[in-house]
Amino acid sequence: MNEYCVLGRQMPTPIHRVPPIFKMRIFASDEVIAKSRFWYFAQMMTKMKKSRGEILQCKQILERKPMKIKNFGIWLRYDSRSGTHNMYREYRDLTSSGAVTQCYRDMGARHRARAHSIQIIRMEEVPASKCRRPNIKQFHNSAIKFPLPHRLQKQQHKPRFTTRRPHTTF
Amino acid sequence: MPFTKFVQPGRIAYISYGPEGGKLCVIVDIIDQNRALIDGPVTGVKRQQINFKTLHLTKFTLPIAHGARTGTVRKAWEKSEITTKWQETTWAKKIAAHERKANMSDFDRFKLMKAKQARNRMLKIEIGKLVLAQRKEKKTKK
Repeated sequence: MNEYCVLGRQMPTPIHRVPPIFKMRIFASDEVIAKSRFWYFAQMMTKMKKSRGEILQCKQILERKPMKIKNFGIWLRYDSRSGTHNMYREYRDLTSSGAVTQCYRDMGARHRARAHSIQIIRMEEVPASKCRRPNIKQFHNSAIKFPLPHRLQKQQHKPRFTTRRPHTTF
Repeated sequence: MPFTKFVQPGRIAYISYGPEGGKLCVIVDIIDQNRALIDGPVTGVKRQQINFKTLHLTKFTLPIAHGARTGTVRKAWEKSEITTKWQETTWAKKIAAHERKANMSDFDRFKLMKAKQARNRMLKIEIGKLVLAQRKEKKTKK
């Protein structure tokens, strides 16, 4: 996922000569999808259609501090098999687009939610004191330290048959 | 047996595979359960995130705070003389030996063969002496 800043508006008409410009923060894998998602949300939330509108800008937003570890809070809405629900999820990542990518993968894994049924409502960097999820809060420790116990073998088939037991402490 | 090598800010790790494979780096901070932020200004590793699966922890640590910047990491590395300490370890010597073996030319392999032959000849002579001594002992016993 990449983060895009998409600006769009309805084309001016004799009645509405200066239509308002709407800005959206869209997470998509490319520009084409970003513009498409802009129209999807714009149509859903305002009286604005692609056929009567124009996109003024679709710019990729790069992370301001890509080497700073941040906690991201993502408010989303998704369709499950029996209904639609709101969720608040937290992720720890270096970039906002990385966090959103994690979110989509996580939703797919935990709730079998496909990307088309997920809508990101809001995405924000959350300070450590305001984080709610214990699996994120466990990393808020300046003296964090843990071993890597029982390390699994990466190459299970090289060799596939062997007389040596796998080495798990390294 | 207790654990001695921990994932912690300041831990020096060997990157086992990937584009930065074979290089040393420092764990600067921990992102989450699977990823760390690493940096290796002296070894040519850019500051980046990496999965723990690629890291093999060494026994060395640097006295840096979590999230230390590249300049601080470089100074701490040079002060602790990690490069020389690492090269003295058996681990590093084995890696160097593997590399030398893999990069042998045909002439090197010939030299190795001749060296092995010379060593085995010396061994055989000594073994022969011991066998002879043992046979003499048996004869005198009888």
